[in-house]
This record gives sequence, structure tokens and C-alpha cells, in this order.
Amino acid sequence: MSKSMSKFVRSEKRIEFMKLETMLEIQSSVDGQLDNQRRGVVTRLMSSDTEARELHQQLTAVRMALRQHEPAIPVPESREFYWSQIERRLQVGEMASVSAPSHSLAIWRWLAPMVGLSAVVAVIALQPFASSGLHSFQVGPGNAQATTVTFSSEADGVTIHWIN
Amino acid sequence: MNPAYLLCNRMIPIALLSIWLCPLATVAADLKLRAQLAWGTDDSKPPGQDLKELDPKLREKFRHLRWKNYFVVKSEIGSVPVKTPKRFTLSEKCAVDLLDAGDGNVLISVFSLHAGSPPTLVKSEPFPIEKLKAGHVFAFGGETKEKWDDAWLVVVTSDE
Repeated sequence: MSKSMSKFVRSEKRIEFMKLETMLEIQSSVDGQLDNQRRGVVTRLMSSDTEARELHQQLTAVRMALRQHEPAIPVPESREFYWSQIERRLQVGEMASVSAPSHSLAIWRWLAPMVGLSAVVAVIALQPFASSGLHSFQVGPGNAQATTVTFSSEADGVTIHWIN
Repeated sequence: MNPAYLLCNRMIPIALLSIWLCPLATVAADLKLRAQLAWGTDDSKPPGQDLKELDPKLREKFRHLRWKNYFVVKSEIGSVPVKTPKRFTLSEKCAVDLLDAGDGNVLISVFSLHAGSPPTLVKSEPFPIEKLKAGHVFAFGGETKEKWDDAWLVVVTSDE
């Protein structure tokens, strides 16, 4: 009895299982998920088995149809707008979480003078740039809901406080 | 009374004092500032709206910003007295207060207006008056909520 006949003689469940297993391997081959050894086995199977070859072609056609005709759902706003909104909400959330706990006030009492001193040092450090006409940028907290970026140029004679 | 005495001891000193005080009188006059609300956009001017383009000199100041066009929504000139804030309502949603602090700075505060609610302070910054008088331009800016990717600018300049 040949090998193929012995497979056929085996129980129906085993045949169905093998068929399903073969179908899954063919699907994996279409998806490019098989290693080289298994891919070679499936290729040899398709060269000798018409049903396997047809199944491979059908699965490949379905895969291409799905990829080419996938509906594009356009977002009305641009990526930059979405990210700016997310960033804005995150900043609001961070501000709220920082201000909520009472014990942070004690920390801020220590930090506030240091922040002020750092700001003074930054202004003094930036002064040579401002007087020489170069631009200066500063980022700072605005009110509880806004942060600001300050652009100042002595050469151009303009100061802009950008409110986020 | 001797006219010569009057001339030497009263009128000439008064005249000299007046001449000397004239510059001080000029300094004591109210500060004259212009506040403008400008709209920055990459689009062209919308039809049906009477919007003027921003002055080219001002436009040049904002060349570091990315928008192609700037239109003036409203422009107001006003005298800002010392220690008394002067409000410029630039739109139904935006106002700016200018206050001569008396220390050489003008306090510039931008407010968000809401119907039926008191104005909300958005940001406040002091700025040297002398820099404004020298031609420096001060501005607050941000993204508009009505139309994304557009910007609003509240521009304060000296009108002297």
C-alpha cells in the first residue's frame, strides 16, 4: 500500500485534520510566515496537488483584493492638529496633577526661589544674544491652562508671546 | 512796582521755568498706543469680508512665523493714562488691556471674552514703553479655535 493510500485509509478525523493543517500551511505560505523548510514542502505539494495549487491562488487573490480595495477613511484634521490637541490635553492634565496634591506645595516653596533664580540667570545669559541682534526663545508656564513660548529679536524689533 | 524789578525777578524766571518744564509736560502726557487683532492664514482673504492686509512693515516683523497672509480684523488707537488700564475690545471674543504702570513699563493683558461671563485673563506681560516708542512690536499669538491651522495675533505698537 502506497503512502498516499495509507493516509487515505486512516480515520476521517485524521484526514480532515491533515487537510486543515495543509490549508493552514498554504495560508501561511501566502502570508509569508513559513520558514524555508516548510515553504519548500508546500511548494512541492502545490506542484503535485491541483487542489492545493488552486487554494494558494485563491488565497493570494483574496489577499491582493483586500489590500488594493481597503477603504481609506480620511481624518478631517491633519496629523499635526491632532498631536497638538493631544499635547495640549496632556499639559492640562499635568498641570492639574501637579496642583492637586497638597504636599507638592511644600516642594514648590523650595523650588520657586530656585526657578526664579534660574530665570534671572537665563535672562542675564541671553542678554548678550539679544543685544547682538540674535533671537532668544524662552518657554514658560502661562496661567493654569496655557504654556507660552516667547520669541524676541532686538534686531528685528519684535517680541511675540505664543500661547499654547 | 519797578518794571525792571518785575522783569528780572518774576517774568524771566517764570519764562525760563516754563521752557524747562515743557519737556516734562510732554512726558507726562498719556501714552498713545495702537492695538490690532490680526489673523494669520495660508488662505487668501475670504470673500465678502472687509479685511485689510497687515501693514507691510509689520508683516516683515512676523516673517519668522509660518503663515503666508495676515489680515487685520480690527485696529484701535487709544491713549493709555498712567495707572489706569485702557481696554481695547478687538473682537467679540478678544480684548486687550493696556496699563501704563508708571515705572516705564506698560502692562499688556489679553483677555478671552465670553457672553454672559466675566472676561478671562489669558496672559499678561510687562513691556518697556521706550522699546515701543523706538518701534519695537509686541504681540501675543496663538492658534485659532474656529479654524485650525490659522493663528490670531494681538499686536501692540506705539502710535507716537
